[in-house]
Amino acid sequence: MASSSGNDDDLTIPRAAINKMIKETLPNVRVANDARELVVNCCTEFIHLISSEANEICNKSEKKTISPEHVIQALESLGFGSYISEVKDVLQECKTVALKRRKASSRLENLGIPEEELLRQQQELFAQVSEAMLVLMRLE
Amino acid sequence: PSPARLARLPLARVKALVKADPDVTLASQEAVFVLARATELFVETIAKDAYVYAQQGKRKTLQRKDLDNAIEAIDEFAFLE
Repeated sequence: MASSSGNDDDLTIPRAAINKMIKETLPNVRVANDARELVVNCCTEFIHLISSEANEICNKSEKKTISPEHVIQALESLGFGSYISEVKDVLQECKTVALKRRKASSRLENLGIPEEELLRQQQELFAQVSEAMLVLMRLE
Repeated sequence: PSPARLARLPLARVKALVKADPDVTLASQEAVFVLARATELFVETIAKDAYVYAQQGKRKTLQRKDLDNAIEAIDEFAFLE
């Protein structure tokens, strides 16, 4: 259920995603609606907290873009160090996927005809055109 | 056996939340990914911590006050007070 774009401040993680996470964490537990609502809002606060801190860490480094390492440092400094090992696993996955994608695209480029062969084909075509033009000129 | 995967948060929404901060200029895709995973862990943690209070109250329903109690008791959640 996408809401029409309004205030940036109304942004939250979608309720359905939160519900699913709660369900996976506490499988046989009923959760009151106002409790769910609070978790949604806590998520927003958490994201703001970590990204603010990561932004400050980023500003102190010479980088202009917040990197995953900045986020990791932010987690550490804000007392969420226990999340770091799992978060690093996900980062490793990220990098592996990115690497596979780069390898795949370079392999695809190499499937094409090599440059020398393309040049040879081009020369041949030019020669054919020249000949055809000669024939046409003689016919006029 | 692979570890149980928590539901993934929509990355676009996490990114939008990061960008909503006027001080933030740019965040890499990997940074957003890492933050999304951390947020999933946060939900998992706070839900479990709150549930302890429901169990103490011999309830099977997690209520808002359980979350309030967890927030008050746990240092890392002080930002939520």
